[in-house]
Amino acid sequence: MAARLSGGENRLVSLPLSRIRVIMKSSPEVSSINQDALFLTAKATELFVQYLAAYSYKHGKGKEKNALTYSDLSHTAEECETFQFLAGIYSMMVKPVCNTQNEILLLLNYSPTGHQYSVYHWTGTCKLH
Amino acid sequence: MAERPEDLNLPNAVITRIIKEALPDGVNISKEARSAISRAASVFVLYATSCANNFAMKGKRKTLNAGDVLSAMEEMEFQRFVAPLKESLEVYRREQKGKKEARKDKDKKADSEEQDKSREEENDDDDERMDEEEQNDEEEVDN
Repeated sequence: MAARLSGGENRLVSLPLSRIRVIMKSSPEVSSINQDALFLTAKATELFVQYLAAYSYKHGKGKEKNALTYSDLSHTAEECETFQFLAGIYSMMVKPVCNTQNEILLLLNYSPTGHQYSVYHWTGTCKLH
Repeated sequence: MAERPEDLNLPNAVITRIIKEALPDGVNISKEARSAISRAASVFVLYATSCANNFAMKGKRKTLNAGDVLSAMEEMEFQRFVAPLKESLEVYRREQKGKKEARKDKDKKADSEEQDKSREEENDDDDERMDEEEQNDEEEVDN
């Protein structure tokens, strides 16, 4: 039990490297990734999640109610330049749209209700194998 | 390889834990906020990969390396990540090197005295297996 706890807490990176690799490889122009680059991308993603959460909480309205809300996040994506790549104008919920060959044609932003769509600016296609 | 769009998602339980680490205790994180952050993280991976790949292409290399990812961070205006990333990479490299050497030692021992496995090495293996199990548990709970 002790071993299990310490293993979990002290792990250098908590996101699964295998999943990060799948996402990276879904980009068609990427042929191979060395282990250091994979590790760094996973670690960077963790830092990004923490930064995005902390920033949105600090600058958001939910703070008054001790909460982090969806609108705090979409506000960040719209207002903060660093997070602009997330700003699909309206929201940052991204949904991939695939054609019959299972290629992702584009990523769509959709509102929490799922009714309003807008095209996300990342236009690269990624193949799903 | 990604077979379904869901394969581009990151495990919710892990994402939630990371978010909690960044916020004061007791802050309530709405379900929509979690999901939005998780999707943002996937987009971040794609964006970083694409930027890193541009640096690799400029260098006429086919394999993304650590330098490409660090350059990508600067390009993406996440300079603040560069120093902590370099530190983690140092630790990671040491860890990997240690594992490799432990494996070599093990092979040597296996050759000479097959029965007499060191207790320490067995424990190491158990830890790794447990980590994997823990990961699976988390993913299952959330799906």
